Amino acid sequence: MIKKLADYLVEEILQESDLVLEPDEDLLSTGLVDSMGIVRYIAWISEEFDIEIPTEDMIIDNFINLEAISRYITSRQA
Amino acid sequence: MWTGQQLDPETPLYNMPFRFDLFGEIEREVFVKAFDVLLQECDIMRARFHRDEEGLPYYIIEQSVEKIECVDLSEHSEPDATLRDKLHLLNRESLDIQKRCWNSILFKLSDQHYVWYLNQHHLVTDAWACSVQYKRLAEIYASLLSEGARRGGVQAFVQYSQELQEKQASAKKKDYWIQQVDRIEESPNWYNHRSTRFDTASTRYQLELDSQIKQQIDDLCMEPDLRCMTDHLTRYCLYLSTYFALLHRISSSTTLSIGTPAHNRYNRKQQNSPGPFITFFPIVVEIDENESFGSLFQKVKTLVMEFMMKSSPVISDITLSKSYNAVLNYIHAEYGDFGEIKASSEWMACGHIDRSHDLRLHVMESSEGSKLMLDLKDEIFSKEQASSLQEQLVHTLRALSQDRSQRIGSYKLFSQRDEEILSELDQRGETSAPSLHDQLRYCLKHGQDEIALCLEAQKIPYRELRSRLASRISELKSLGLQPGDRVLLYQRRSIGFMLDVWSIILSGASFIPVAKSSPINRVRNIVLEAGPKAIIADDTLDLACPQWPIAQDEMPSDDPVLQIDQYDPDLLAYTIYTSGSTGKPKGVNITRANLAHYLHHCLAAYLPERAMHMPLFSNVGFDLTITSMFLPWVTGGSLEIIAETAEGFDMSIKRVAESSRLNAVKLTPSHLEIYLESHSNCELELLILGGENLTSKLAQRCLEEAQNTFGRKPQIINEYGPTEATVGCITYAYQGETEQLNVPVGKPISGMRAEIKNSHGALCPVGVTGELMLSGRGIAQGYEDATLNEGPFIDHSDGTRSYRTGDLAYVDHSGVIHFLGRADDQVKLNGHRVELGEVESQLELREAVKMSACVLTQRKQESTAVNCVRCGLPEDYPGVSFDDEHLCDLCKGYEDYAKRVSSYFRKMDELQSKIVNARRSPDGYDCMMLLSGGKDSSYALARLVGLGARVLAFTLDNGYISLEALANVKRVCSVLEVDHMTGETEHMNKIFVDSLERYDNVCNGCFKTIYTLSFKEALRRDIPYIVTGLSRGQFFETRLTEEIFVQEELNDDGIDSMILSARKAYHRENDLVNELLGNQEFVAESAFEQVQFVDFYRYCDSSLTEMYRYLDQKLPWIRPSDTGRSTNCLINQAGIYVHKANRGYSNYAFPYSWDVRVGHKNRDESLDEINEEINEAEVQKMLDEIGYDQSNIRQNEQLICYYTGEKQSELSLKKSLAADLPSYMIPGQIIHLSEMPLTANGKIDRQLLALKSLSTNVDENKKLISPRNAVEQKLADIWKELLGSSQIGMDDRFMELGGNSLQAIRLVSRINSNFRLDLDLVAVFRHETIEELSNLIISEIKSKMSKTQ
Repeated sequence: MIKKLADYLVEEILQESDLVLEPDEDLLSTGLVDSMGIVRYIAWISEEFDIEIPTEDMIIDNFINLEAISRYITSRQA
Repeated sequence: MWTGQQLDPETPLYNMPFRFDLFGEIEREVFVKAFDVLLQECDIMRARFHRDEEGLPYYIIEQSVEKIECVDLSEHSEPDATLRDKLHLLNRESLDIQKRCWNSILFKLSDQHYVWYLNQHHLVTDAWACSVQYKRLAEIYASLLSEGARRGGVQAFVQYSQELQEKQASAKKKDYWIQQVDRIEESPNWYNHRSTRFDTASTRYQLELDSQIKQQIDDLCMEPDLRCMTDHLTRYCLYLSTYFALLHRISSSTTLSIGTPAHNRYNRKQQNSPGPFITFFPIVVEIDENESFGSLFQKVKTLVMEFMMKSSPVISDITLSKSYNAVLNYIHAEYGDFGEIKASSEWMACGHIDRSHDLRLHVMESSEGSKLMLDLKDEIFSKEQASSLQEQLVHTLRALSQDRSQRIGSYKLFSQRDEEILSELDQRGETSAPSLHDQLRYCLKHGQDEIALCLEAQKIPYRELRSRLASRISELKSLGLQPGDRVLLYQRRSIGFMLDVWSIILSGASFIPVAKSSPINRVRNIVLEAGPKAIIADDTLDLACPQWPIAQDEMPSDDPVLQIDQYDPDLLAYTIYTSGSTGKPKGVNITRANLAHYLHHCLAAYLPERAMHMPLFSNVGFDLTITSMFLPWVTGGSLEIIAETAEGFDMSIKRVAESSRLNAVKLTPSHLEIYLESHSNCELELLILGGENLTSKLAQRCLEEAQNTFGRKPQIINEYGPTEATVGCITYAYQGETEQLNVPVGKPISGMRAEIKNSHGALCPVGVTGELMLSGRGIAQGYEDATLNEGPFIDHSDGTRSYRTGDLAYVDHSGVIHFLGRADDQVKLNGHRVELGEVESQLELREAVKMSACVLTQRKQESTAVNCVRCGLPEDYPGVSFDDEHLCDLCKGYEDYAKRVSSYFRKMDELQSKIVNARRSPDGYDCMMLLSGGKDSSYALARLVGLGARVLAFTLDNGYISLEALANVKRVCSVLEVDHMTGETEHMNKIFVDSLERYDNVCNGCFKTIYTLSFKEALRRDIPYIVTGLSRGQFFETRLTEEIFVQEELNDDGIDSMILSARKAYHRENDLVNELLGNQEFVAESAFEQVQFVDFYRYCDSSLTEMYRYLDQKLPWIRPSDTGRSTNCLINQAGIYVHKANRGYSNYAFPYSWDVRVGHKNRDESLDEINEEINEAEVQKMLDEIGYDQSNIRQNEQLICYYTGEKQSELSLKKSLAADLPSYMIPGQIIHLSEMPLTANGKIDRQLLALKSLSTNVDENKKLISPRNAVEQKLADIWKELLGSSQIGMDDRFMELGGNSLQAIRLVSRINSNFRLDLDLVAVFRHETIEELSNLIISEIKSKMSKTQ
């Protein structure tokens, strides 16, 4: 799942195919992805993994890095 | 932006000037070179804009040979100031975007200080882009300087822009935004200022936040309940919430929209591209009753998430950008130093703002901290207002950061200036007024031979007044009057009445004045509630209350001495019953202290130290009259009584104009209107206006006329005050200002306090509308029915009490209060909040309009309409009149030409010979039959086949044909062995919408589509006839009119050729259907010869019953159950629904009435079909599906505006209003009246107007009785002239047609001069119709003749 997540982020949102993202790399506080980018990313995640993501869940902890995102998706799918 | 710039080509609306201060040495040549390189890298900087043939903008990227300019200011004495002035001008210079979208200069201020100036058009840049350009220039400069290799580069914009053009906006996203803006009811006004949208001048203000607030904001961003995904997002939501709260408080609007940009830079390429990436979207918030900062923040947060998900650079819609007038720009671009050189940056203002934006808040976040700027449109925000707004913004930010559980409706947000002005509204002070006793005694003691009171020829000097008062007091005492008693006065204005008022007051008792014109039942109710000790009336009354005799109109013989005693100031002075707009009148109890307070104010403020000579002409039961009853004698002046006329309108104000010895008058604006009308020769020094809103126009006219007549202007005082606060408590001395529509009500008088509070009970800042609350010495003791006190009267813990006026007002920056109307006058119309007063004021701005009054009225419900007894046509069908037996004139007229109509209809064998026998070719179709699947066309098809015709059946699938109807089509065609084809078009929904907009039905558009498609098909297949299944009734709707049958000379051929030419015009007309489907086939005349239209039912005479019998027995036709009616089409009922709502009757009412008339239906069948129930939910769903804007459906409520003055065309008034008012505030009807109806108190009678509006429809359809003799004819001519109306019936009442008072006077004089009679005014009121007047005149003439004989 992490690869799928990373691929989309790199290819579609950031559009930098040579970028390699580590699973624990901080996406947010470094400014790598900004608020609008992450929200679009979330919109894609919601559709791709067929989960509802309520606004209450849109917090830093759930989307700080690819690992956290993957954990969050799994928890919603359960 | 392009459009915006086209609207104001000369204005630098979209300049984005930046100033970069570079603190170090700059090599000029290198800098110039660096800029040149930058220009080559940034393609969009080389864009030049053009328009294509259709006027649409496009740009091309040119090779640029432009260079940056260099200016050396270092030799100037004050380089800094010189630069500032230069930049100020440059910022405001329009860029010619056809040549170059930027302007850039390198200024040298000193060896160590340079300034790079870059001004670009917003079409090619945004704030982020500027930071990219700045940083890149620094890089290029550094590399050129070190002669090192240049690395990197910016990303071209054009590629991105091309990618963008290939993208499609998702419909779902677009729908989201449309839904968001649909929630907006109206654009809010800030501090009561509405933008004209013409003036773009604006000013930028920098806001300083102290470190404490900055720290608080930083702390807030860490709060778990506020924290968003990123720090910037949290800050953005915080500023947005602050902004919403502030805007709510300065506008009182509950639905607010703020435009905010989506940056659209998601990846590094985009982040490294200078170019105009941003697009604006509205964030729409509905503020709840108890909204707190915390709950608002959560709402905002959710909306911001949605905003980020749903925004897209390809969605742009004019409705979105028109939906907000406030903007928030949150910019977090870093500029930093210029390479090695220390630098600072500043985004400067261009002095203009987009037409549709009133204010913009810019939040610039960078590593240096946050900077706030406001761009405010000058026409809305004065310098004072702007400075208050900045403070209020800071207060709001502080309130949010200190306690976010606070309600946003009530946190304290005043600026220093607000505090000062609001404190000036408290004039309660420490001093008290002299007692009533002292004030009354003073004047009564001193006067001798000066006239105190007069009534016509009768004049009473002060000396005599004292004796008569003394005598009346002792008489009343002997009747039992004691201090604290109350006496009801029900008398005409007379000397006796004035003696009673004063005698009662001087005895320590109180009076209840009731106008003589009040009905006896009102007096009875007041007696029951107030229980007066006695009643003094002109006539003997049958009431459960002792009646004392009226004062004798003669000097007492013994010349008694007047004793004036002191009484408790808390005793009542008078009780006035206000005619509350709803229900029962309320008695307001005013104490001696209240009255003393008001009189003291008048003495000090109105013609101080001067004797006032005033008339007593107005309703004595109205508290306006209190001024006239007391003020003259208190000032040592005189009172001139003008008694009411026996009947009809009280026109005493006209007689005031005839008097010559008055110097002051207290009156309503409506009185003033009549007063000015009668061109008085009496020079008044003072006019005190009260009781109603005073327009500047009227006040100005009053000053002008006096100036013209007397060479001097009187003083005009606008006095505001409810009865509950004793006559007047806020006043304004009018000086001839005309900038504002209405004369302000002014400042509170000494001893009173005014407060303006919002619905949360919090004080409103300067400029913001709220409810006016009063407190101080004028506040009444309460209502006679004390149970009513709670609510309007509020007792405070400090023992003071306030009165809630229910009036809307605001205070301006000079501390002056402006009245905006009753809170109840603020009505909701189709969801919009409408201030009736605002509509009136706007209408009154028109030159021709004198006075206006707006009422909200229920439109007449359709169910109340009576249907014609013969055909069932509803009575409100336009253009048709009904007689007393409810027979319509169409039915009546039909009796005369029924024979002629029936000869136009033919026999079936004629149809047979036309279609079958005259067959052109042995094979191929004889005709095409338009088959809807409904009963008429199915029956027609069967009969056609029965005649032996070879038929091609044609059905239009409009997307809403009932499944059962389609099944019928199939079954019928297969049983009859008829070929069938279906026509369709992708444009059907557009056609429906167009048809609804133009005709309020769906059928017109659908018919046109059927005819067009089938006509084309028939031409293509060479089918000679198209047969329609129109009913005979529908002929009369679409082809025939009753007139053509009345014309003797027109035979059937004549009729047919008329129909044919109408058909040609119909098919060639340039409407939407022709535009969408094409009509080139119909241009040739031959087309109409090649294919002819034949109406089946012209040849077939079958009644509905026969038809059903035939269908049941011979065809597999089943009545559809899914349309809920006999028709085959589902959307038909949506059309009927809209038609009924907008026109008041079904679109089938007319054709069905003809079906009845020609005998194809009976009345009950027709009514059943017309009145079939409509499923509103279904209808709304369908209207949504086709995209019809349901706000076009008229609600039952409508705004009707009446006006006096010169009669104007309704349409031109509406058009002219449309320039100043939003469309929902444009009245549905604007009706001219020759004069406003007034209440007994001299105010506009709004209740009567509301009733009048209900009866308008009835009047329009009433059968007019024409003049029947010479006298009636002459009278009708006079009425027409006076009333400006051409529709006058002999049984119409003069007053109901809008005529009253003035007109009545003119009427009498015209009658007298025309018929050489000597009738008095009363005659007109006793004989209200022309018929009655004519009888009176004839009998007068007869008696006159018999006398002379």
